[in-house]
Amino acid sequence: MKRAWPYVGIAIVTLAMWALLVSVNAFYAGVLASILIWTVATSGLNVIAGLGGYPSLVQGAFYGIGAYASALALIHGQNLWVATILAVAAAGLAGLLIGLVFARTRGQYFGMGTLFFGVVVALVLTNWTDLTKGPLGLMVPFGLATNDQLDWIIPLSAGASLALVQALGTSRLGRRLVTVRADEDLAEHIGVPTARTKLAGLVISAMIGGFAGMLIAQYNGTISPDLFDQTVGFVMFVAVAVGGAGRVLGPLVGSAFIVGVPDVLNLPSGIGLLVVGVIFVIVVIAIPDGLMGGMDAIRRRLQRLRT
Amino acid sequence: MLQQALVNGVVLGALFALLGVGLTLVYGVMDVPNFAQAGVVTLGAYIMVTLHQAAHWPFFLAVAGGVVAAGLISVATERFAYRFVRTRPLAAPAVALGLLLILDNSALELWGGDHVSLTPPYGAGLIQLGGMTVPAVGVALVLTAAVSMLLLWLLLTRTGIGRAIRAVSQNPEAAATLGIELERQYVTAFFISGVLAGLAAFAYAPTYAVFPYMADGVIFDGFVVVILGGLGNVWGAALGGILLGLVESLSAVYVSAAYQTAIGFVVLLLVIVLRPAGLFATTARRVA
Amino acid sequence: MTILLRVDGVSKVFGGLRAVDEMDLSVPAGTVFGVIGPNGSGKTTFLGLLSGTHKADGGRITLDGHRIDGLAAHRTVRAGIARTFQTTRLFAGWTLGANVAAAARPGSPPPDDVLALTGLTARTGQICANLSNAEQRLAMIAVALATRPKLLLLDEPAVGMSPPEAASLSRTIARIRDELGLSVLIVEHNMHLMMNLADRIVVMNAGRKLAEGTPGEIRANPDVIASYLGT
Repeated sequence: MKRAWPYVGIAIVTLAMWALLVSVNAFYAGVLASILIWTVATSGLNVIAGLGGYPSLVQGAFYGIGAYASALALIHGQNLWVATILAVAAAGLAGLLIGLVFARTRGQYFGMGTLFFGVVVALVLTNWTDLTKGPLGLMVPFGLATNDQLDWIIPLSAGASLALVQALGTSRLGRRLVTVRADEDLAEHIGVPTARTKLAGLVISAMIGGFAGMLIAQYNGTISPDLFDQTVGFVMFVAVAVGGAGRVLGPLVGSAFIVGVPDVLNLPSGIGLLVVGVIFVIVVIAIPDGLMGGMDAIRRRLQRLRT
Repeated sequence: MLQQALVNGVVLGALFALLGVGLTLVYGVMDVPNFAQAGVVTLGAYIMVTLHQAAHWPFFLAVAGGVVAAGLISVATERFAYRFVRTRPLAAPAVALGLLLILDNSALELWGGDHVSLTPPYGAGLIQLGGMTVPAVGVALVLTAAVSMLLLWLLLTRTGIGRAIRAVSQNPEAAATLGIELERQYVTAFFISGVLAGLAAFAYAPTYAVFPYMADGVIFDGFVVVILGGLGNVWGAALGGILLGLVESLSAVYVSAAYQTAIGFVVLLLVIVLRPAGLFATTARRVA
Repeated sequence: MTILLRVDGVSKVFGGLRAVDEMDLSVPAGTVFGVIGPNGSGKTTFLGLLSGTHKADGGRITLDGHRIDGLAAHRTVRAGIARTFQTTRLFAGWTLGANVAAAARPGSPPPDDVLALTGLTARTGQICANLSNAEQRLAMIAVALATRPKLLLLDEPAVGMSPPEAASLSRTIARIRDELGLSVLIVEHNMHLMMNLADRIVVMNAGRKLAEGTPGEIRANPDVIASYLGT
């Protein structure tokens, strides 16, 4: 029974997001939908970066590959099911490739290697104009019966991605990823196949990222390379760190913070980004475990006061 | 064609080396991927433009002002942000991104988003070099890089400051027990790195435009250089810069200009996979 | 007596330096085997070759008749070799119980048993970083035992221990041999502990085997006295 509680919590959060999404005005609904789609993408990142402790900066590329793969499938007359499967598969393959190439690198080398992979994907999306129409981007055919369906598909997807990370965290793979994060050499010496564990983690991250890409393509109706460049991968990593790496709700909190704060403050872009910069330098410095970790610390302190 | 590509490669490489050496120096002493360096370049360039065009300082005095300002801004990033995440490697990239947003957007707020230019007195000059035409700004860039590297080499090998930085880079704990004050070395390394960013701005701005995000792209090349040379290896970064400049310039001519940066990435990839400690590595981590 | 571990002509070169040079060794099942030698004689590197931490440049290693040289460390663990480290290596921010649980695999002894054997039952819920040095050294042994090894490699297990702590460690190692039937290979500088605990001792010098025998034979060996014990 105790194991069911986190899922109940995630279900409640999901319902609340859905209720909020259908009741607020169009502006806030747009902000919330962006936050939820980012939650899916960053939940994916939470597997390799959160559980596994590997600073992957390439999640934006998986997101882009998923978006373009689904859009191209729809353009070529496939239905949304096929488009979604292709999006997830294409991103997963990219994850596999990156995982195999960077299997032996660690820490910051891994971070930079993945960052540059993001640069290359962005370059390909911009320059392979026959396929992607270049910087102008693609119009994405709508794959659903009605527009309203996205109102529940997006919150449900966010909830499902959170639940998936919760399930992974208690699975054998998840426990192994956590030993890799704690001390990779030691993990290897207690029998954890670290190379295979990291590869599996990265592929799962990529597949979830690809799914999020399908969502943003459907939600936006148009996609262009600048939505998926290396900066996006970097900011997604920051969102996970700000929310609390490895914590199931971290991606939701981090995405709300990073996507939501600039949108809701609605400052002119220069000042807005400046404020965002100041806020997350302060958050990262002041709260080592991210916002979720900070809440835990406050709760523990309150409990201690009560006793 | 080939000769021209080689000359372009050296010019580009000199820029990469200036950026890469500054990045790797900070990396050596503190393990921070200092993406904010791009913002320091931007602010340095704007300050030069303002001092020269609005305050009517002589060109080279304005440049000196911008270089010193860049050094101070770099020190400020260390004092107000990086020093709090020294022991948290996963937090450093997030802080770096936050700082980059702050610096770039400060430039946007202060100077607007329009492209402006920094025009040196020799601005439009062309120099004939054995049948090739080299813009004077390119020659200035290479000279700046070469002189900076020489001075840095003297600083690191011939002075107490340099020895202290190298000691911290090799082994902070051991350096601390030798009585080297770590705080001062961090500040010094960031100052030098900022000065190099300022010099990069001076070298870069006359060829390309000055705008808030001017260095966000080229900083990636700086990081390729850092890895090529091996994290924290100053001379590796200098050589790596020239090498990357040549590779990118040749591939722009013979492969594809659009994928120039991607070729740089392929080089990086080969190095990461085949020689994870960098091309010029003798031991794992060192400065000079 | 069946031979558990057989090492034939194993070498390891680090940039021109032959850290381990043509080592041979046979470790019978259920024995404590000591490895001694001056600093830099290649003891820890030899241990690393057995545990898959380093890959041998030549020779063969078999455990229970299966070749294990060239295997990745995690496969070596599955083949039945677990090790501890010279400097304490634990998931320091986790509880002792979580450390032991992380090492468990199907068929592993119950965590309570390995904790009881190492005398750490009362510490199960403690964060490892808060344990004393001696407790952390024992905790590494508990974690290693949790992987269900046939051969346990201990790299200077008594480092930093007081004489009573070392004596207690010695009794624990004897119980691991006698009650669990494991073989134990120990690199250790504490000669008193070694002479009283080990069934056999091998002496290494400059990457090679200088001598091998019972503690009594080693103590009487003139080569060993000259090169090592005498100094």
